[in-house]
Amino acid sequence: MISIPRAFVDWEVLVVDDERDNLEIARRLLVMAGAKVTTSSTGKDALEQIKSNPTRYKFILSDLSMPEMDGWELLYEIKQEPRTQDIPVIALTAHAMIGDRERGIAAGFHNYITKPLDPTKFIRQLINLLKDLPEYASLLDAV
Amino acid sequence: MPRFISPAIILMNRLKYLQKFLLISVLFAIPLTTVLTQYLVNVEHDINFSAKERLGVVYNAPLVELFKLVGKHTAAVSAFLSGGQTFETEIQSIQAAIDTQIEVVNKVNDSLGSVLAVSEAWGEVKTQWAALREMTPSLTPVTNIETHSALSSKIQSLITQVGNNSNLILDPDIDTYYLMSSVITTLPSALNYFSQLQSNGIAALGNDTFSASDETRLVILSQLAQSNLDLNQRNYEYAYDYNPTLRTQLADSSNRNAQVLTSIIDSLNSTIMKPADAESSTKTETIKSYYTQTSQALDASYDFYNQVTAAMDNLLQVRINGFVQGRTVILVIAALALAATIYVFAGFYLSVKGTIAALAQAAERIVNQRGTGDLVLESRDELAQAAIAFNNVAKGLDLARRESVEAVRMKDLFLATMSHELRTPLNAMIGFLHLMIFSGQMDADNTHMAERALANTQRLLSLINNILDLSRIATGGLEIVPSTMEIRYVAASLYGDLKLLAQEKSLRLELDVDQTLPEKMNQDESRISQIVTNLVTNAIKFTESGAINMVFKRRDERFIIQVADPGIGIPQSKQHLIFDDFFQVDSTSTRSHQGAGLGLAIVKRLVLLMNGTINLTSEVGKGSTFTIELPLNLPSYNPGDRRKQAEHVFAKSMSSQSDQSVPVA
Repeated sequence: MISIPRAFVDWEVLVVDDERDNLEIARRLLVMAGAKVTTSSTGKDALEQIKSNPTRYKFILSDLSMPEMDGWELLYEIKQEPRTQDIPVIALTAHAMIGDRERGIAAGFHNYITKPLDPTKFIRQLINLLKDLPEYASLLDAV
Repeated sequence: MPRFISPAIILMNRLKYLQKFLLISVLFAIPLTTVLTQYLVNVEHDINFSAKERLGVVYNAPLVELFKLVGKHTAAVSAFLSGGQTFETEIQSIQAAIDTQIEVVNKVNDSLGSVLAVSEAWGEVKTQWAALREMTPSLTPVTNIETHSALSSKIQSLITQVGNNSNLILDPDIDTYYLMSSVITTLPSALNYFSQLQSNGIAALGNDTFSASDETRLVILSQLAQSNLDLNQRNYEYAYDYNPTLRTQLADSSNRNAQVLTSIIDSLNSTIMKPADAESSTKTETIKSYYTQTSQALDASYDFYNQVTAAMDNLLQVRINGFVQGRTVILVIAALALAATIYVFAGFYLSVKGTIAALAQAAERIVNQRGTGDLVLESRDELAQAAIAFNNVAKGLDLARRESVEAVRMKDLFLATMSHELRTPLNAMIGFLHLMIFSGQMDADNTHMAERALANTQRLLSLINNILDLSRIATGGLEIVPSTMEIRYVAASLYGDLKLLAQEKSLRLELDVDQTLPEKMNQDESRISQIVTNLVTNAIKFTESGAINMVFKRRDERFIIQVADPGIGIPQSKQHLIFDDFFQVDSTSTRSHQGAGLGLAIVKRLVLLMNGTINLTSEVGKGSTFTIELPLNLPSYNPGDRRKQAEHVFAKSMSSQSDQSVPVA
């Protein structure tokens, strides 16, 4: 039996994906890790959520390919706004191609996780990616 | 095809075009050259033949002049002996003329004597003349005629000999032949007789008594002279019949000549046959007048002789010119034909070569798949037809190739679409089954069923993934995407997943990560995971008890992945087959192991794509060890620059976000 580390207790997290099932699985896993999860199925909606309270979310998970406003545009908007630009944004990508990771990181994504989400690893992957940031150093204790 | 032609076909099949041309040319050239050479030799011979005839004419011309002078000398001496004292100066002037003429003949003889083989006979003529000149003062009327006759006969026979040796006697044309006959034989003969008639006539005039034997001799000479003259005239008739222009040229003069000569007989008759009661002074006058008359007649006749000779020489010259002209025409035609043949053959060869080159280029284009191999041909011959046929085949092939490429593309598209469509729901199923299990709200029985559903869903997903991967590898659609990989994290993660799988069969899984391995490598993490997962699942599948070893280590600049199991092992004879698609060692329908046999095939291809090698050591009943060697690929990426780079590239990335390489989530 795999245990989900409760690393994100009381963390506010935003998940953006236009696929309902993906959104639900990510939400449920994050909830198991203790997080309070807000979901958005469009980039526009997500951006409104973020702007309405810039300090609310500890991190954002965003799909890249979405109708209307995609993950790249959402990231651009977040990075444009000084109040939101320091929120770590982690990309959810379906396929990795040569240079995508470098380009994604260069564009401002904190890191990326490939889809489909592996429920047994998802939370550990997030911890692993976020622990590099000094303000999240406490995550190490959760592993 | 008739049998007899097959050797020629075999021969032609073996020759290249240039060789074919050369062979055919040589086969044509040999007989043509032979015929042409033979013709040239013949023409040359004919020209030389006729040219030699002309040499005879050149030689005879001064000789006949000499002949005339000797006849004149006879008559003059005869007149002198018959009492014409005044003839002494005439004799001396004739002798001087003869001496001069002998020098003229000498010169001709110097150049032509040996060619015509008459030098010896000419020498005799000279000797004889010298002797005769010596004895002239002591001659009697009888010895005078005898010795002169002998010399004249000698000269006449020399004229005939020149004719014989200079081919004149063999002249091939009728007109020239009869003119030759006149010039060489009949006319000199007639002139000789008339000359004798003149001398004998003068002698008879000088005789006081005109005996019967004198008369008889004169009558006989007259007859001989007349008959030779007639014979000569007949010769002309034959020549005229053959060559009518000669008639206009010679007929008048020859008739005049005949009259002139006949007049010698007439005047002899009228002078001699008169009663001999004339005074001696009158007799001398008579002799003188007769001499003058007959000499003029003979001179005129010799002039005629020269005219005939000139006509004949002219014919010979015309004939030679004809030969030379004919030869020139033939040579020019032959040269033109040769040039035309070479020109046309060169064109033929280059045309064939052009067609073949076009064909070869088209073939190369087809082979290299650079277009249809469409031919642009200027030629319309059989070879071009073959090339056009080839072109049609090529077009058909190209169409088929395009269709097949299109079919493969469609298949790939279909596979990509299908796999995406299949995986999306499967991934959701896996996610939710996990969540059900994680929720902890189900009893043990429900949890077991959820776990079985999860395991089977995962197997279905991995089968779909494998099929898709194989197809993408086969069509070159799968790319290795290296990025920074932390091997210890990946190894631990894989271990965590695969340990569960091993535990299901009560197997142990042992992990060994070498301390010397670098913390980070530039590798395709998902493909490395796929390789290890495939190898370990394969090991679990064929192992019933014991521990499976999963080793990551470094050997020099190589990254080594090793998976060892204590399973059933692989027979030596099958070891080379296990990396084939869909292969299983036990392929019977009752086989005890599940799986499609795609795992190892994918591993092998992924390893090759990553520039690595895979090795297998195995013993039946003892187990198998797969060893993979990959390049170490230390990362050049520096994490410290991350933020700076981010700011730098940010704008650019935003503007190119719709690029092909942007991931489709």
